[in-house]
Amino acid sequence: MSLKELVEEANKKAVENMMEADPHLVDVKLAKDFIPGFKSDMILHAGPPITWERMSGPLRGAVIGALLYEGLADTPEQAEKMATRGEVVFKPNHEFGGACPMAGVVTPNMPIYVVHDKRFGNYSYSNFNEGIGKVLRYGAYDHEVLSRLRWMLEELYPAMQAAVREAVRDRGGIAIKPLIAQGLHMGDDGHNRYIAITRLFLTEIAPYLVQADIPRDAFVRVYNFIKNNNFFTLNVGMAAAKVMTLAAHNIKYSTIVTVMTRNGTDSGIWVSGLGDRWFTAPAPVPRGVYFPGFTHEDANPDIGDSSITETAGFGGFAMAAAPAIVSWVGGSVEFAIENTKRMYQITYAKHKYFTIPYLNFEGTPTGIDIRYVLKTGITPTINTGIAHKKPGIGQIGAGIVSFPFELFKEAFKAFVEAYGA
Amino acid sequence: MLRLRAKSIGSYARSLLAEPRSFGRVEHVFTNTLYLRLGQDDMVVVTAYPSRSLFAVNVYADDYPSREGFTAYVRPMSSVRFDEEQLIIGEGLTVDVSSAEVYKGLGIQAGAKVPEEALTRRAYLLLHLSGFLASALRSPSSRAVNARICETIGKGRSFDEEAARSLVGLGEGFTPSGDDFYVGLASTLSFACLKLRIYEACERLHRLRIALEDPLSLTTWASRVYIRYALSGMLDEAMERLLLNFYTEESADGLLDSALGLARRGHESGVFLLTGATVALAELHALKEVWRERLCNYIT
Repeated sequence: MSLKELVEEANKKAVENMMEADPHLVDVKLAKDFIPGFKSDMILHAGPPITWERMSGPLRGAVIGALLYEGLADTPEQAEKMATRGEVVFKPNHEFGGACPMAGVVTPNMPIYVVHDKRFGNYSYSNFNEGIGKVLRYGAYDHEVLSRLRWMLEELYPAMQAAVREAVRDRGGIAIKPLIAQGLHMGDDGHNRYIAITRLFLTEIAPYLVQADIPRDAFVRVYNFIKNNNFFTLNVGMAAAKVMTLAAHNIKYSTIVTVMTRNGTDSGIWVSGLGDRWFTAPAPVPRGVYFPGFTHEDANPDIGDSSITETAGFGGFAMAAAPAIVSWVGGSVEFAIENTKRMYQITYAKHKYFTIPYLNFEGTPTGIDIRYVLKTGITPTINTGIAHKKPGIGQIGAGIVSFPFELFKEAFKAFVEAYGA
Repeated sequence: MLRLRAKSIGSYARSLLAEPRSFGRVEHVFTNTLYLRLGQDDMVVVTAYPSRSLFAVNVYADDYPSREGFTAYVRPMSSVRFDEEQLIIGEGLTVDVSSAEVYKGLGIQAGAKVPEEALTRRAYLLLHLSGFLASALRSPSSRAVNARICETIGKGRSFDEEAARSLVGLGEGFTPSGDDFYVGLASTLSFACLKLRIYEACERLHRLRIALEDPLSLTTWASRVYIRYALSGMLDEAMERLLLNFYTEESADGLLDSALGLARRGHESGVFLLTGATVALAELHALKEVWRERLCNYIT
């Protein structure tokens, strides 16, 4: 077979796998009890690999908060010293099969969702979503943040674990793909608009929360927490997207992108046929809508693993399904539709199961192909939260950002090295 | 009446417009580009795009009504005349060229020269890039054109009339893909021959001119003129930039970017332009015959 035929065959398989993956929420555990190879001195984070010295404000803030949460430091200053002295090993979530939003920091005693792809057998994880504003994942770490994390560990985690295990006993877990597909028909995009999907998830999990027989007042607090946090299910959706892209990863010759992520300093991608090799470039600063008192000058460069949603063919690529999102991330309804249409130019296929009513139920743009990115000059454009560039402050808005072209040029050169001869 | 100002006018376009003509007319109208036919067979392009050429008039973007485009103001077959620095097109459009910069090409820096070994490496880089991009084309017609290109280059017949007969006019688009391939091939050879005095390029250019003479009747007027202009060394800016990057820039950093800039022309045109340029450069500078197999491994 010629290289062209090999690439086409590989891409077809990669994208087919991505679409046919079948993610189910099957457990809730502490990170140390699930993630293989996770050591006690490790902190996992969003984005490509990075050292403490190069970390941006929000990621540093999240690391500080995580060390306080774990009881490894009593003060932020102590936490900073630990990190500076190299007492903490930093590793990307993606290298351990996970994807977590914004700073995406995971420590041993943080609860995580476990998602299983029943079709291809892969597992992934993501952490719990705290809500918006002043939260750990946006780099905040004050008493309010830590108290919430403590409550999530002591009450939300056991409740969710019990409920999910009930669901597993009943029907093997909670299927996530149908929730996303239905959410796209209800005005969500599956990244920055999660209102419908969270409602659908609540409908699914509520009976199991009841069956799990948790104390009534705890049930009320857990139920209300989910109900009042429109982004509650984002992390579950991200873990689902992660197993979808895992199914497409490591297929020889494939030019399909299987990881797109950022750590607040660098953006990074993986390409299926190039394995776990990182291609990185400086992360751009998103442009968007800011909370009162904040401006673009305060914004940190792009951060988070949540672009795994676009990598799997929804999220910002499905913005045409979620016109109301522009009230959160800025832009116009026309832009939301145009963005989806533009993304068709850089993707290999249209999703079989994620469809957009406004576009006559066309499948979402799925399977970013680095060849099309090079040819068109169009890079993946996503929506995202925006963090303050200083640690300790948190979210300041939401907006739109495009991945740097350099990533795809570097991936091309690597492809030539690997397969060009 | 829409009045636009020209930001730039190609030196050849300038000389054509200044000559007294028995007729000139609008041959094709697109949203952002007009094709003017002057005399028997000359062409001037009036465009809102920024890329310049010796036969183009580039209008200022600020004046240009991008929403409606030229189609709202000009009809095909409208007359064209040039009077006191005004290009008058039909009854709906006037372009003032009085303060337009005359574009004579990008020019070569004196003394700039890249060693032959580096040229070979660059040729291989372009080979991989053009192949990589071409591998992504999925339409049946582009597959057919690529298959035909590989047949011809595989037999070492890129400059034969038989190859020209099989490729000219082949493919979809305003400029058929087979023609785009020849524009790329011819532009590169004419640049290497006329600007750099590379003998092998002149020899191949001569053969190509002969090979294309009859087959040019197999394609459209505009595409035919593009090929003719390419054979005589009239390149557009994107093509010239690629070749300058290839031949004269010390660092190869800009080469990839300029190649990508060319490849993005039109829907698929740019990819075939790049393939043609790559084949010419590979013929001139790639040491081993394996380059043919490598390229075809990507595109068929």
